Amino acid sequence: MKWTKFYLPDAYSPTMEQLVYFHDHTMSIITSITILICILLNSLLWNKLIDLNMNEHQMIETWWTILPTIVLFLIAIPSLKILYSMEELINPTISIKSMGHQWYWSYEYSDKFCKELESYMKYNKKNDFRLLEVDNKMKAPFLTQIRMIFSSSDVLHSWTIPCLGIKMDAVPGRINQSSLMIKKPGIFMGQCSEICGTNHSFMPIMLESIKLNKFIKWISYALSDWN
Amino acid sequence: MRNHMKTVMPTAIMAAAKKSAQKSEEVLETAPFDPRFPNTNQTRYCYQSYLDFHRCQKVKGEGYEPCAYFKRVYTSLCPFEWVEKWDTQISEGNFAGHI
Amino acid sequence: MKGMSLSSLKSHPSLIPLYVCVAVGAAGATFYTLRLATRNPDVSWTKKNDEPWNEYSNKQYKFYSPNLDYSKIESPAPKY
Repeated sequence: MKWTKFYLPDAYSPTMEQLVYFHDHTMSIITSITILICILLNSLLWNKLIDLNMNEHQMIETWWTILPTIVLFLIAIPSLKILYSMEELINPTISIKSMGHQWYWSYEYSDKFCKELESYMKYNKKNDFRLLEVDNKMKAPFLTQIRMIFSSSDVLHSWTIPCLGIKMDAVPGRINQSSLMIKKPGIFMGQCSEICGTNHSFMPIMLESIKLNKFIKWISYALSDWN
Repeated sequence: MRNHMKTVMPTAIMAAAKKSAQKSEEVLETAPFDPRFPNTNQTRYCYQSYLDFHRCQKVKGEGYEPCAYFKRVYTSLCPFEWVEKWDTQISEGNFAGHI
Repeated sequence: MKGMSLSSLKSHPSLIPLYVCVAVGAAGATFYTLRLATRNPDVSWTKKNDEPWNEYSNKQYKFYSPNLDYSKIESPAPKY
């Protein structure tokens, strides 16, 4: 077992990078508080500073109210900043729709083209990623601003790719949006993260990020002539 | 046509690639950001654009160029399933929105 | 109870930051709820306008936006 298993996956999108930084920031605060508490408990166990008449100490009470407030702000402000910037969408180049079904994902590309993919889990073959491999991978270009659109046709699902820092609920009758910028080519995997029925564990997500020209070529075979 | 492409010389493929890069500008265009709908929930952006397209067509008549903007937006944003459902409702005359 | 009156608060000054925190928290929560109720197009108090979000084509109603200033972006939708 590797030590990296105790850590977050490598970040492949600016959002995930920010989340990793935030995790590290919060973790450093948590660690220092834990160490401080351990030291205090230890000294409490072993010292003999007993004073029968000591009932209150205004100064220390004041400070241990103010300092935690400051610590909470140190956590809350970057957290809110990331939360709000994750919701922002900067000039998307393409929109990709992802629909949750019982129990598979389908992807719709319909900007100036018209393509629909149905992405079912592939049953175990040699060299496949067990329970993660799908027959039709979703394709997306890297270093491109993408608007991801999520909805569902039956029950709640949740489209998740940890490496890209995306987790978005697919809600029937509602369209959720999330911006996505993949930094590198590769295959990214995730699983449905909202319990959606019997085969909830068997509707994985596989995203292949490819070069923009390759993506255009791939999509161009499906160019529709409605425009 | 596709068979022909496979047999031509690499230079022609290069030219085709260049063409596709130029093409990317025209091929890749999607619904822009709209300050009316700045949140994660984009349901109304889709529905409003669908309504606006049909209202626009009603006011300006079919084939009026700027109306196509709304159609581009709703095709980019709405799931195919929804558009199909609304289209059949309109043709059957039982669509719930005000057009 | 000690600290609930102004005179007893003087002998327990350590309670002041606690009261300040609670007051700021309550005020913030009230402000945000009221803002949602009055500014957000998800909430309509009258039935005069059934598409209130159309009034925000060049305004900002999000509470906070770190990178973009929505008030400077005009809705790209054509008028007809």
